[in-house]
Amino acid sequence: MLQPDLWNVIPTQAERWAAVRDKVAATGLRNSLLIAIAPTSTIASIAGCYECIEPQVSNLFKRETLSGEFLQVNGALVCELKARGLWTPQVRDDIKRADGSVQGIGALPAETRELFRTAWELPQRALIDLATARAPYVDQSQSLNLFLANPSIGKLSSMYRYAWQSGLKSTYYLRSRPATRIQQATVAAGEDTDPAAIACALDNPEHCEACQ
Amino acid sequence: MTAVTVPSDQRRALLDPGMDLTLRPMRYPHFYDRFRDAIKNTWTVEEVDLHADLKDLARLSAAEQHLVSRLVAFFATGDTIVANNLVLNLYQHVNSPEGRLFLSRQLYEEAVHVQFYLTLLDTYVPGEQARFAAFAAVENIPSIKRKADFCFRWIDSIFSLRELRTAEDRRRFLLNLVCFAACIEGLFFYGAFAYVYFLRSRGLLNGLASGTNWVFRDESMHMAFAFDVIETIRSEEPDLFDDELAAQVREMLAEAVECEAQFAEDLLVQGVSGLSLTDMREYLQHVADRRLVQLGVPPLYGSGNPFAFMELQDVQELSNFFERRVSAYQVGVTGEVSFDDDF
Repeated sequence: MLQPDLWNVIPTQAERWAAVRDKVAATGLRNSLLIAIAPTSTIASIAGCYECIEPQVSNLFKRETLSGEFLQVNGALVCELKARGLWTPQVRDDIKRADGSVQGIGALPAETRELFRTAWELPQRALIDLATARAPYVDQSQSLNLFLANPSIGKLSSMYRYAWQSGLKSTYYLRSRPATRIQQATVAAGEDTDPAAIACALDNPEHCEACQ
Repeated sequence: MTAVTVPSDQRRALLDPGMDLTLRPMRYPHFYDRFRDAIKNTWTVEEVDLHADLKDLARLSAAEQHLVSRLVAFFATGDTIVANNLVLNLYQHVNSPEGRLFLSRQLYEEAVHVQFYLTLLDTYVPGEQARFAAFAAVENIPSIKRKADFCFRWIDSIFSLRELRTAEDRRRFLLNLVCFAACIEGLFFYGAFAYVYFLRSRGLLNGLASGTNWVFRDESMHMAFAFDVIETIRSEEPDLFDDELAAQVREMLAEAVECEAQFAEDLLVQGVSGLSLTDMREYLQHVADRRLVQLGVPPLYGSGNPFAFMELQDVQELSNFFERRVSAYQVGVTGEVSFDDDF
């Protein structure tokens, strides 16, 4: 009985699995658990990539660590924008003002914006679905963080019930965003936008002036 | 003062004297939203670990220690002054119950800040006499006294006003509000913020920096609320905003920059490597320009931001829960349990 059997999954590469099963039957298995997906946040800091199996948390953010704070920019986005001739001071300021999101930046083509969605902008359902697809092959567990910028009890209960129904053993952190932020000091004056005012919050229509 | 109940169809202005009690219909729902957002920012002083800073303090050069001790002395009394003005002046004249809800919340936050800076003082400064001296700084240290005098002058400027009857009264109120939002919270505190961030960019005093992060998130809210109040008044009584008021605002900001620049001179007198007085002055001018633009007044200086380390405060943060106290979250999540919400 191996992990995929518990999930009633028939893996591809049947011959190789059969060979493994024969060997296990003949000699036994030294460890009871074989695979885990670790959070790897320190390693990610060092390697300059994103944690674990997570989508990028932002195209521009800082890591707060014991030894200080470090700015991290999404290198892939920079390459893409440079190739398109769009890596301009204006776009950089826009990204900063949008807290590392490129969704509202009209100068960028739609496919770029879609590709560089942040963890906050992706449907969490998709992250859970991906974790579920991996689960038959991960016998210990996976570090699955979920991201809700603006959690509500309704969203949380729906999300965690879906994760439970999908058969996931566990999830890890829930990350949320602060309700308001420190006013920025390094982007040009006069272009402050109140995030609460521009985010026409469909999930929060009673607080959106445009929706009232 | 007597309570006034006003029929909802009668158009009244925010600064009209009285004690409006009506929340439904709500005249200024945006004030109420800010109140609710502020509650999501709740934090407590106990969440900040300042003791880890002590070994950093011991490593600082004499010039840096001087800088930190002056900052601590400024912080010791700064928020109390703001809280006093809030109670003595702002609460009285912002005649909207939802606006007063925000101000009540702000008062609580100022109290938390006072507690934070008191804890900071008790942690950083071991001797009782030295602690007393920090509180006496507002009288004894000229660079701090000058800033405090500036604040007191504007508190006093409308202290005798019980009701804002005339346009002149209202302009005086506006100047007080601009002073506290743009000059004190928006410039003095932003100056202090830069020193803390400078130290943090070198990996020093992380405890102070985490607490400061929270304090400044709150201060940003206070400032945004005050600017919201000003914009509301502008939409209701555009005539108040004449050229003379604009000139007074520019003059006030210029004086605030001078106050803060002489404070910087005192802080950096022994020469802190990596933080020059010229850059600090330029930074203050840059911040002052931003405040002026936010107030719809032409900027004075046209200065840019010289501090690359300030970039770090403008982006979202990601902390490892095992290494640092995570400050990016919200509390007071509400709603009903449901299983078919979109997520």
